Amino acid sequence: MYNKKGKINKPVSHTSWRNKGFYFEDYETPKYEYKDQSKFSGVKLSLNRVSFIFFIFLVVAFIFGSKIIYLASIKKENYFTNKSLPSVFLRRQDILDRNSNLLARNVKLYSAAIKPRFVTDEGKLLINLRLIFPNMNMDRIKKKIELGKYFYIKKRLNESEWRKLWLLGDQSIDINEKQFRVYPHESLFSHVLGQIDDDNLGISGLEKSFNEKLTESNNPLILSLDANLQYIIREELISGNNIFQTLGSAALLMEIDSGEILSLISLPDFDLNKRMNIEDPIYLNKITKGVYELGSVFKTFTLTAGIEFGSIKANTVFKDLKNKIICGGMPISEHDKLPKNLTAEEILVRSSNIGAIRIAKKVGVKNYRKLLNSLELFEKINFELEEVGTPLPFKWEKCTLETASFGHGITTTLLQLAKAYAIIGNGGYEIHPTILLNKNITPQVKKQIISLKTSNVINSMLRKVVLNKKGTASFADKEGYEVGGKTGTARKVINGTYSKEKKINTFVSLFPINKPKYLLLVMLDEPKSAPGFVYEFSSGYKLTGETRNTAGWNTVVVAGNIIEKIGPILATNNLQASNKF
Amino acid sequence: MRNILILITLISGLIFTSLVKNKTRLLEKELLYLDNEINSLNFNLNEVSLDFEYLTTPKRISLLAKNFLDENFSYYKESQIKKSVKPKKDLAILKKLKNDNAFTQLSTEKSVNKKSNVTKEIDNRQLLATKNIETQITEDAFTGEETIKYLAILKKLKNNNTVSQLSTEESINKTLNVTKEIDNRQLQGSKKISVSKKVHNWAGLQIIKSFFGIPAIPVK
Repeated sequence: MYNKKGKINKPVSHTSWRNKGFYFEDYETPKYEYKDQSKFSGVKLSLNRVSFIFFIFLVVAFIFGSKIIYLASIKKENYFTNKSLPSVFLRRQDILDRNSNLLARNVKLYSAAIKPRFVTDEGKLLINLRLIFPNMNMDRIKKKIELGKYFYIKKRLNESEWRKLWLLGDQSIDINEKQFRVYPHESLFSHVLGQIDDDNLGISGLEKSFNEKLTESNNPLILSLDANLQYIIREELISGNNIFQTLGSAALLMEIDSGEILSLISLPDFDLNKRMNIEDPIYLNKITKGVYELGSVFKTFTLTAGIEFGSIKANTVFKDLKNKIICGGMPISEHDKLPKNLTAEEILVRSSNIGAIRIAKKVGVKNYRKLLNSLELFEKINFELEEVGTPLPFKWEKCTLETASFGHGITTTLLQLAKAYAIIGNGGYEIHPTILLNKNITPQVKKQIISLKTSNVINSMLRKVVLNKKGTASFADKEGYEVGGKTGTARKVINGTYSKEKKINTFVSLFPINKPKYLLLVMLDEPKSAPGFVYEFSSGYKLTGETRNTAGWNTVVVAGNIIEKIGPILATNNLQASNKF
Repeated sequence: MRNILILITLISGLIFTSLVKNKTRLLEKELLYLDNEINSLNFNLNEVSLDFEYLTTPKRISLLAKNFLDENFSYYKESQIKKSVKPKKDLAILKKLKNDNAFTQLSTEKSVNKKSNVTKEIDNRQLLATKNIETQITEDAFTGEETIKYLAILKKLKNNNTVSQLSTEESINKTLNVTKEIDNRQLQGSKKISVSKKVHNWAGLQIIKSFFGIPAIPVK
């Protein structure tokens, strides 16, 4: 066979054709070659191509098929995880109280800004904005557009404003979505919940300590606090602050068996929705962070030590008690004129400083220290909030035992004081205060700190402090609630000396005292005397013009009012109600 | 034959693939739609529950209580209650109240029936009384003007009885009509109140929403 040039064509081998690429241009062989190679028919060639395409389709079908099988096999819950949802669905979880009342929640908010560089028709834009925001100052916006810098026209748009702006479709309007944490109770839980920053990260309180849980968990954080109780107690504290012109105040309500805190308030507080910058020390959490000398409330520990170690009994008489003694060059005196001979019980009821010193001396430093250490009064308490104070370190020197016996020279936090009283009141076993619901519900071996016998003796003494006419806490004697407790009036240290006017007044109460269930601690910071206030005794007698400002004349009054209000809610053993109706 | 088989397989493969792809697309679309709907509903639920929580905070409720509740609901000490209430008397009142409550649970028809029974009893007694008078007259056998007087009285009494029987029926009907009218008015009144309350609630919600900067009217 000859070609056009007259040369003989070389036979093209089948293998050489096969070695060529699939899409090569020379794939199309001359007709004569094609005819010669009868084995390679047109159908076979196209079949290779089709099989390739078929293979691709098969792969695609396999992918989609496997996807369908996957979708059919997985559970719905796993498919609709938070990750697949838009960001509005909670970057931070809700915080709830023990009754499932909402304390904190994240909401989606929009802000609208203008990008002046993208403004094409300024007049049209301003008219549109005027239609959506009739009260907006358009001259200001016009000036800002002329300046050419990015600026916000409105933050926190509502849904309709956002939709109207979005429907404008103007490229110069920039709508930003942002998460915003809302606290429906405003300032009610400010010291507990704490604050978050602009990036939705906790910077104080529970928001900080549970930041990880709140951001990663799918469940809300449930607290042991009760919003209703919290509100009532706060209102009473505010009322007390107004009457006694205090610098601040604090209250703690706790279940003494479980250690669950039902209410924790420290005043002054702040509105969490306003994102205030809290730097003033007046806003510190007085319950957990504040470290104070707490005064006569420590006498209960002195008596507890005496009874627990067998040094004294309730009726042990202490004779010839002086009105004033000198210890380490410092005078220690009674707050009032007291009889020279008092029993141990009367020493607690009438809050005798010299009597407490005599008991402490009888107990001895070793035993007294042992008891205070077992109540964990001087260590940093393990608590859910980060704002926890550390008691100031001190040495057991010459006069430490004497001053410690009536609560001076040693410091602790109110939370630790409450914990110690709860241990004494609940039968003597250890508890751990908590702000989380059902944290301590799991059955655990109860560690006995003091004996049940001692607990019962002290409880009956605490009842007499309230019930006895000469007791310091008679204003807390509320019918039907069987309140027991101890007052503490501690002078504040100002420039290294004890101030006569500035005091920290505390009252720790347990109720109902026959089987204590709740502990209420109230503290007033620098209360003033209230001569205009009408004191009403349980007998109905009314008194005005009182100028004393010890705990019995202010803190106890506030605590009594609180118990009277929260008592029905707590449904304590109200004997009058159960017997007569 | 072999080639035809391959072609059929290929074509069927193509059709199957396209079908699967189409179905997957539809499924994805439906999932996306459902997903969006769930999001929207969740968002609305979130907003509504937040509004509810804000409006039912103890602070708001106590404010409302201060503004709208009667002062009689103010707090009383137990000793105050003790002084003002005599328990025995109170228990008797309570029992009576309980009984009254039991009565109120009965339907109005029943009470109407009771009323009609009472009126019937009264009528019967009146009839008996007139009969007694008749017998007395016949026994005493009055004469002259006195008998005429008594007969006149008897007639009057009889007429009165028939009238009273009629009047009882009429009064029952009237009372039924009146009670119906009262019910209707109460229903209308309660509807108006509920509507106005709803409007108040809605307005309150919007104000609070705008205060927090939350979208005022949730739109899907």
